[in-house]
Amino acid sequence: MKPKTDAWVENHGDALFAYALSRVSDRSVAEDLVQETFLGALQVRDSFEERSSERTWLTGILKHKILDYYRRSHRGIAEKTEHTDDPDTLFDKAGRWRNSPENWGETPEDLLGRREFIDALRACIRALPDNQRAAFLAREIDGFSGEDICKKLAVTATNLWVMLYRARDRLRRCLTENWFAKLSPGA
Amino acid sequence: MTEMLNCQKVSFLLSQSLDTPLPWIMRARLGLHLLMCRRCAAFRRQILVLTSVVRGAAAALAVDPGHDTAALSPAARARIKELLASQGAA
Repeated sequence: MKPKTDAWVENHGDALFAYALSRVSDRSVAEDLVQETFLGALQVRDSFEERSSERTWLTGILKHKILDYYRRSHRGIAEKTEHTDDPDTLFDKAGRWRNSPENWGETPEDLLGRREFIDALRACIRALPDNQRAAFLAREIDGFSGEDICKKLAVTATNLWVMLYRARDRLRRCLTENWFAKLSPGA
Repeated sequence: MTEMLNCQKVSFLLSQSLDTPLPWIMRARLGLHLLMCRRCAAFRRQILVLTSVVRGAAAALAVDPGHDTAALSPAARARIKELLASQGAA
């Protein structure tokens, strides 16, 4: 079944734009991504299957366009190793932790029930370097396999693992500092 | 003789194991290290909670509340409609 393209912009334009904007933080880039998504969808509209929703199908195309954008716009998206704020500085010369990761003491269910926590999480994700944020969200939210992300971003598997490691490490430290430390008694 | 795993290497492998299956011998060595090292065990719990909350909050994270007007501009809306109409008719 072919989707009805006439109503695409009215029905899905704003939702796709909001999704794109949450990833690229630049309105004109987000608009271009929505445009590319619709035009891309037009090319493959025969592949649309009625059992999936039109929104889900279009969002799937947008997720690919977002990764394409990161590859195009960030020459050498591969991880650089000279960052000072990276996990290597968390360990002594023997590779032992300088400061122990803390026990957060809260379950994911507890945390997800608090809007302020989601805000803190969003702020920490936004503070990631572009390449780490793109790789991390593609992996954890958009559900791309590591192999797909490597192809899309044109990086090696090892490089991707380093990016994801650094993203996770930054996020856990950011949340420790901006959420968990503020909850502890006496903080 | 295999190289001893230190915490730095273990933390990387724990993250990597979320993205690709590790060989069984490596999983066994990791498991042994985690039994003896509370710090790495805490790191592991943190990244598992992180993964879980990010996936659980996916829908909320897909909307950026910093932008109240997350709507296409009238100009972009018109441009895209026009492009779709011209290319769709082709």
